[in-house]
Amino acid sequence: MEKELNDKLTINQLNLSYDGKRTIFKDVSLNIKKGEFVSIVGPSGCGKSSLLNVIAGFIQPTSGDIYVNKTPVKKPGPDRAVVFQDLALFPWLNVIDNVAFGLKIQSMDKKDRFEKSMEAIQLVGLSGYEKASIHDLSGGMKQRVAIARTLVTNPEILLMDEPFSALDAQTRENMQDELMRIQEKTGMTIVLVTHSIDEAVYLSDHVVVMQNGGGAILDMINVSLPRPRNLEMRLTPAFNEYKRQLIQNLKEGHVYKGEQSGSGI
Amino acid sequence: MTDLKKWLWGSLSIPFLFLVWIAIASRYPDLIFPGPIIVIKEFSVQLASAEFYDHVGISLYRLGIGFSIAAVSAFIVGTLAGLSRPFRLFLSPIVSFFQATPPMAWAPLFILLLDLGNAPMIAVIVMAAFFPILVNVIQGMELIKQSHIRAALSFGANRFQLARYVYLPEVMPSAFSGVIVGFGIAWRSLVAAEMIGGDAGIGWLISTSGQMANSSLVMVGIITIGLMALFFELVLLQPLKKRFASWAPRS
Ligand SMILES: Nc1ncnc2c1ncn2[C@@H]1O[C@H](COP(=O)(O)OP(=O)(O)OP(=O)(O)O)[C@@H](O)[C@H]1O
Ligand SMILES: [Mg+2]
Repeated sequence: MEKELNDKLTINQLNLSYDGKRTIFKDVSLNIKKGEFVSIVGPSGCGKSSLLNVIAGFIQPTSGDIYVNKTPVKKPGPDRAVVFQDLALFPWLNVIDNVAFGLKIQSMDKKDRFEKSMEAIQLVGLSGYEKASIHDLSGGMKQRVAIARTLVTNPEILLMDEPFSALDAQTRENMQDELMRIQEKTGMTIVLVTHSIDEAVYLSDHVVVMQNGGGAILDMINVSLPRPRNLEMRLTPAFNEYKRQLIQNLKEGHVYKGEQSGSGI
Repeated sequence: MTDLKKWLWGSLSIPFLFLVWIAIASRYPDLIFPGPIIVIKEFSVQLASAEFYDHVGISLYRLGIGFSIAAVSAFIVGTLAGLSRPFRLFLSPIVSFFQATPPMAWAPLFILLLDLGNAPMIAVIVMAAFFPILVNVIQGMELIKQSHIRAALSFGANRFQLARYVYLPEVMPSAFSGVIVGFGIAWRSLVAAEMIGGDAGIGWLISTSGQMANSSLVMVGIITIGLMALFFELVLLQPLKKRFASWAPRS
């Protein structure tokens, strides 16, 4: 397979089985270019989080390779920052110390750490909350801290597993816009797992549909809505057409799952 | 409730205790169950005697050594158990057995093995404090969130950084609960062990005073034990807990 020159993240023929018997996914291949926003959707249990964890390097694939800038990666690293579903903020640290955590790990000196963290905190719109305790923040603010924590180390790729699922609708829409703004500013490549078709279409350049029952990637839909995107676009026929396509695809995935579970998976 | 109100309610218990004490003491001869005034007098006599401080000092010394040994070793063993499931399974029956035995039941054996003096008393304290701390450290290790570990790993944390910046702070609240429980058990067991087989110490002071029918000195001993425990709890352990474990969600 020919890899394009500006591929940021290349996933080649990934297979995963936790126990050696049941296949979680097989033959997953993806090429993601620098600065692209890719969402992964699919029914619950189809292996979205597993795929993200393999890309992050937390679990080893049964076979297949992952390349970042054409270099194979095998373990977690700061080139692939992760926003976890439970956010994984450290409750014993305040906001700025959470944000500075990655820099501390990299042994950056205190002054630079402070400056970089303040910058990231400002970028996510949390100025004034540097000293606040994590317990005292709202859901949306915690989200921002989690994102700021990943930004300080200038990751090339941001991996997010349903980061907005715990937020109310209003906050969620705000965070989606924030995320696009931050991506525009930083040029990061983002891979997002989501259950929301709407969110996937709104944010993404490509939406990957995974299927249940240990299958390959079912389909990939390219969303060519113009950027910057705004809330009004969600009401356009083009937007709804993408959603319709995705829902159609997911339905096919469901039928597929039915056949698979019939064969004793 | 405001802090002042809470404090007021709490402080009401002191006059209450004194009233109950006076009521009971009034029904017995002073030699058998002395009232507060006699005991306070005895207390001031004791506070002026070097021997009293020797006994308090020796109990404190035993506590300090024994508790440090127990805490450090429980922390190490607990961490290893937290990291290794087989080791945890191996430890589980041992922990259950020793937790079910009152620490001071071991005192006679320790005295036979280690002779009179500090060694058997320190052994009782280790026995008393080790297991509660161990159990809580293991529990704390089990509560460490996988996502916290993964977050640190994705920043490139090495083993040492992982231990220092994730495991240690995250295990602190549980470990401190263990330290506080273990401390209470250790202190009580020490006094009890000194009573049955000591040659000095606050427990020994109480038991010999009892044998000599000196009830007011017995009371002084009991009050000293209680006040010291209160002192450690409020001045040492709670502030430390606040410092290292205050982030924990209320449990
Ligand atoms: N550590 C693990 N060990 C064994 N099996 C696992 C493990 N993690 C996930 N699985 C299994 O792999 C399958 C895919 O799980 P995964 O969490 O990746 O799905 P998902 O698409 O993220 O689902 P959801 O949308 O509900 O989050 C599930 O059947 C799950 O039970
Ligand atoms: Mg998932």
